[in-house]
Amino acid sequence: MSLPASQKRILNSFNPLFCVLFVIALVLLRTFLESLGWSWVDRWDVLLAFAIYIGQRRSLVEGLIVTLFVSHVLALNAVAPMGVLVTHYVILFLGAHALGGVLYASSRLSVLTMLFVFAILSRFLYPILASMLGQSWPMWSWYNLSLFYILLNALVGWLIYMLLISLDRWTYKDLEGGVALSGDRL
Amino acid sequence: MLDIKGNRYNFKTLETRPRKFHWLAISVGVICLLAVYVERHREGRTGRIDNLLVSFLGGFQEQVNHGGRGMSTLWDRYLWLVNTEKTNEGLLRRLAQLEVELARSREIEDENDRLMGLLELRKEKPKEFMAAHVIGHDATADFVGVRVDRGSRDNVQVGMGVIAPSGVVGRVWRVADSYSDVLTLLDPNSNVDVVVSRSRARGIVSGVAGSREIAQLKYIDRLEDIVEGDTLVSSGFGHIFPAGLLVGYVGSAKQNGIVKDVVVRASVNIYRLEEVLIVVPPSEPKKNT
Repeated sequence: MSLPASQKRILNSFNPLFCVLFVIALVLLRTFLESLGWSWVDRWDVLLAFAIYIGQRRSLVEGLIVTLFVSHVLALNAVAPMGVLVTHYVILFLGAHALGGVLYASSRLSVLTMLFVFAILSRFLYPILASMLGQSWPMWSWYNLSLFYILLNALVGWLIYMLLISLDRWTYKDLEGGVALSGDRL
Repeated sequence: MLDIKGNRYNFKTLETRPRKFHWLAISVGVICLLAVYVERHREGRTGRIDNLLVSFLGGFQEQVNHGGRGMSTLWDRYLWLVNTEKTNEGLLRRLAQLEVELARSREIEDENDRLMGLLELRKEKPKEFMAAHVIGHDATADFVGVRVDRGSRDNVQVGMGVIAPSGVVGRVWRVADSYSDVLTLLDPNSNVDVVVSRSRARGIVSGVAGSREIAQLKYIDRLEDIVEGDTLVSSGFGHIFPAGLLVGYVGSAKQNGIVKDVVVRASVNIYRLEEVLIVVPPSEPKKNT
């Protein structure tokens, strides 16, 4: 069933709100899984795939506002030194956005590869930012390069990325415009 | 085409200059924004919008957590009952042993009180406790915290100690109206002052990155008497936790140069926590001026 153009436009304009609600749903899902005692959930980075998706498929200004807001929401649900998470996800977003001008991940394999690379990058970023803004983060711990963390977040992140593509499709997000804007102009 | 000074226009430069300027402006803007953000949230401070967001999410987390725990309880207590009888027998034996030990401990406590009275030693002021439910865990992969359903409305303040029946949990990190976040002793940013109950050696217990069960005992001289299996209790310094509360057990102690690397197994299982107690410090008597 096809909707009238005016309704499509309304859904399109509400897309950032749906994205924020999607992240909140992920945080609640994480809470639920942890209450079941599933220990692997500890290593799941809820926002990694989201920041990369927004970086690849949104304009700089729209993406930056959404990333700042959702990373702040996540920071309010964590005991990280304030600023670590927001800076971390803003850097990932800017990295994915800059990459969007050169390489646009559209196929399943390219998305998975990109998530894998960003999961590794994230592992280097965390200790640096946490040491700068926190007190005693172990900079050279082997944990920072945990293979389980990287693989888990690449695979779960891929699933989230695909769900976000579906969310954009359901809300009639103008992907053409977003992709054209991403990376090559403000 | 010539400009006002008679030089030739370089169209390529003209095209790229605004873009460079925008990138620079946005970078400076983002850095300033982050600096203000960090400053405004220093030491667990929260604003009205933060309170609103925490209350909104905390309310949902509370419901989701209750649902999850309910399902978990249904499975553990009514469906998955293999080995329950065997476990019960073992627990009954352990209970009998502990009852004997408890009676002995009470005798020692009475004796201790009598001796302290004879020596006229001042006792530590009794602390009050506030019970709270754990409604959620930290939403990130690298930090270890829990959220409880008590906030500034219940007079919870940043820095208050949080304990559980099995030992020290951590301290309050951030306070919103109805909820608080607790930095547990398993987080790398956490520091809890402890003593080894056998040798009275002192150190600081801090979390290890990536572990939710293991912590480390820092600043331990290689000559200190610490062996595997030693019990670590809170020292009571700083008046955050009552003295003598269980913190953990020494997992291993190895010499590393002039210090000892001591691995600590925390007594509290963060994922099994359902109720905790927030330590309310005794109110200071008003000074006469």
